[in-house]
Amino acid sequence: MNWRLLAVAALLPWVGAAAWAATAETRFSQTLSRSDYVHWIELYDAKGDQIDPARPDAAPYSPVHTCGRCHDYEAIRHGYHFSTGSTSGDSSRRGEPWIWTDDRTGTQIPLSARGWPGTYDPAGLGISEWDFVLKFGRHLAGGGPGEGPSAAGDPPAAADAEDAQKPAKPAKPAKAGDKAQANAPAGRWHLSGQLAIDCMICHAKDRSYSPEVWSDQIASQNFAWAPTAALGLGRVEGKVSALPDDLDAAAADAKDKLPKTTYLPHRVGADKKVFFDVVRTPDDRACYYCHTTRFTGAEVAPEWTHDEDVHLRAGMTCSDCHRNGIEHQTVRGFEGETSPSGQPVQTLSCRGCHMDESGGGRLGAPRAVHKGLPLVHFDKLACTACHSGPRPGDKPVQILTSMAHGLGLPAHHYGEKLPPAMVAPVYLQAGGALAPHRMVWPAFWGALKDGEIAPLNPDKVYDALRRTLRVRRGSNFTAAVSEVKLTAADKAKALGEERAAVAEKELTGEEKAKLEELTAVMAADAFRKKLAEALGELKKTLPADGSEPVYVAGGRAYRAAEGAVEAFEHAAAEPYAWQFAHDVRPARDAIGAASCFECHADDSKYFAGVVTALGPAPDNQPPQSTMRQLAGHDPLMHKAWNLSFPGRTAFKFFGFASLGVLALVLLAYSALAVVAIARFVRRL
Amino acid sequence: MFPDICRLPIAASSHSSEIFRIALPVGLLAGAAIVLLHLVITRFCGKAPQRKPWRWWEALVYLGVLGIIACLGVTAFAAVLRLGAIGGWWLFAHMCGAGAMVAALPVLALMWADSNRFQIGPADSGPAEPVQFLAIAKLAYWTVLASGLVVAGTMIVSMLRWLGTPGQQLMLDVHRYAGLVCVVAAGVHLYGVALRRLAP
Repeated sequence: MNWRLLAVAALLPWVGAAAWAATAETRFSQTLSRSDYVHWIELYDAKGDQIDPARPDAAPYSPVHTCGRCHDYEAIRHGYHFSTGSTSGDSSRRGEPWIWTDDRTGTQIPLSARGWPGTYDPAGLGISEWDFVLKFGRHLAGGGPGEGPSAAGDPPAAADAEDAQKPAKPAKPAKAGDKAQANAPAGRWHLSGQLAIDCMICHAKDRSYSPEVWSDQIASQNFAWAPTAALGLGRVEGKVSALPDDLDAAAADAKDKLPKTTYLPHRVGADKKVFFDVVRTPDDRACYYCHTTRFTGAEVAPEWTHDEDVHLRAGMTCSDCHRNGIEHQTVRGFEGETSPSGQPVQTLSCRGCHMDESGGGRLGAPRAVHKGLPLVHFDKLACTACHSGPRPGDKPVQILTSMAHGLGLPAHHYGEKLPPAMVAPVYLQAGGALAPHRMVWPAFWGALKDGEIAPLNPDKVYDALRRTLRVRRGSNFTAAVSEVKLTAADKAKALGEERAAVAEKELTGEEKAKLEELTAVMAADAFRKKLAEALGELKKTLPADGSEPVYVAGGRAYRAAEGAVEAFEHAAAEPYAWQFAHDVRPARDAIGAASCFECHADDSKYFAGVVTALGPAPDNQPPQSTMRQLAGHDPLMHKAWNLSFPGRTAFKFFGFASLGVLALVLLAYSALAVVAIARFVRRL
Repeated sequence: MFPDICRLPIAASSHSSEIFRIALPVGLLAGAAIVLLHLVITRFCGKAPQRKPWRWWEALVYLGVLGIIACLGVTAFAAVLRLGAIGGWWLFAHMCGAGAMVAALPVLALMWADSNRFQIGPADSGPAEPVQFLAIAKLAYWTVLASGLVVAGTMIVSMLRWLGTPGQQLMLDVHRYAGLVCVVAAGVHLYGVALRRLAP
């Protein structure tokens, strides 16, 4: 055997592996420069073909094939912002859910596929990726459910002839915190195309990116066209939503019917390349589009009086803490977080940056001194309990968020009446420490069986109850079910015959209050009557397996009972709450910075604030709890501590005086001892 | 080796709670060992001097102080051993006892400082005066006072807005160990008093 041939044969695999490794490293281009690369790039469509922007039949550009030529789209698509249809990243801490709101049926149900206790998996409710994207696409960055049913998990297995004849098994009823299996594909993906991750929704540096256009395109079912239109690269004419379901997108004449893309000439260079003004770390504006929170309500001070987060005022950006690599596993910044990337992220939490002895102080974070604060506070309180969000008041403030209420899109209806009703701050225990939370009470129609309540698909509920509830266009569930018109007899009963005949504007404040009270009572009765009707109607749609229709809202569950409606307690009616950390207030504005009595007093809002359940169901006496009850604190213990606090200042003076006496005695007798020893030694 | 030794306190400071949980039973055992050792030694000593009787209010104050120290010790040590840290009702009871301790210590000091002075050198000729406390009890008494000053002082200083978190942690560590010394010394003092009262 020729030993040279043997040597070559032995070395060849190693050479091949090295060559492969070298090839793998250069699969995606990098500059490794801190200076952003100037993106004059060609556009590619969803099939991967290069686009000639000058052509009248040019396809919309696809981020998958355009951005994905140089950036690892496959790694990116598992990132935290794009994986709403599956789990990835550290989901150990509950976050803001998607809230499916339907004003026609009084529904506000928290949805999440991450298995957070208190939320429901959309697939378990029969909400397809299509429905999800149409409902929430306004604040989705693309990817996840936007990539269609095949991206939501394993695609449905190809059924053989025998299986095809068997009736489809009903989906397993949804339970809070469950992760359901993907249902059969639904939607018009063959026409709309995929809603791929639009990188420019975060990484556009200039102000040409319009989330409003993004949202409009999605509402028109123009998923594949949305990135082009939102970035302002071109005009999109036509709507997929106007096309019939059975249109064959591959047919020759289909191109004329599908939306048309016209690239704007000034955006295209002579070499058919387009300039993308890209930035590596997104601007705060990009984050704010999905992560804005506003206070609402008559008692809330105007927006211009509120301060921004202290970190942003200090010159930091959101991405300085909430950072990620190419895999886009964005750090959330809570204590104990682990990053799927394997990189340590403890120093990117509050404590890690501001207090940790090893690795803290990143980006020049000042060391939190906490002068005079007993150490026990660090065990009992999260950093956010004192430093984050609005100061606690008599009751939590009602809030609006981008994800839940669609902030960022121009509308006339923003206000405290816009569902879902959400409040903050509510101080609850989280991991053994008190932390501020946002809270929402679920409201939905469901089926009660074996003690468990499974929510029903909201659209199917609407179809079943449309005629019963009769919610008119422009009205809502609450108004429809509590519609009351006071008759003359009703007014006479409340005000007397004489005053009942008087015009409303001439009534006194007290009389108006009486009428309002009567209206409220009658509205509650009207609601129960309507609810009984609706539950009876819903019963007809449920399978005959002992399921009982229920309505959950405002912290209560309702079921039909002997022709009427009874309210009962159930875990499904309990509020869903999630921690928040922004906006962070400066150290001097921390709770307790001025005085210990901000918390250690009987009337401290921290503990005595009252949380009232909110929801679409009219309720004259909604469930109420104090913060103390919700946090599970012992009221007797609080009372005992609060009693001890007024004497604290006097005790400090007394203590110093007492120890002064003690020190003097010790000093005096030490001196005597020294003198005695000296005398003894001298005698020796 | 020397650098490693120098680094020990730094490493210890970041694990002070865990180290104290080990030191606590060791300290209590050390107190018991001192008592046993003294018992053995006194077997070979001569007759103790004549006992000076206590006045009723002295006994009252003494029992009160012992009770306070016992309360403080139990609430602190039991909580630390069972739960790892003191909190809740344990902490509240400890705090109440602390207030009483701050009031009682100067009373103890003023009442018995003179009675606990050591005799240095041979006694003057003439009959021995009755003594209230044995030597071991005197030593324990001054240890209680000194450690009591540190125990109370560390926490009163912590109540002011002088120290940040590292300073508070240091005060807490000093408070723990001084408290352990105080409790052990009180136990030894009780032994000394009991021995005196039980001696013929």
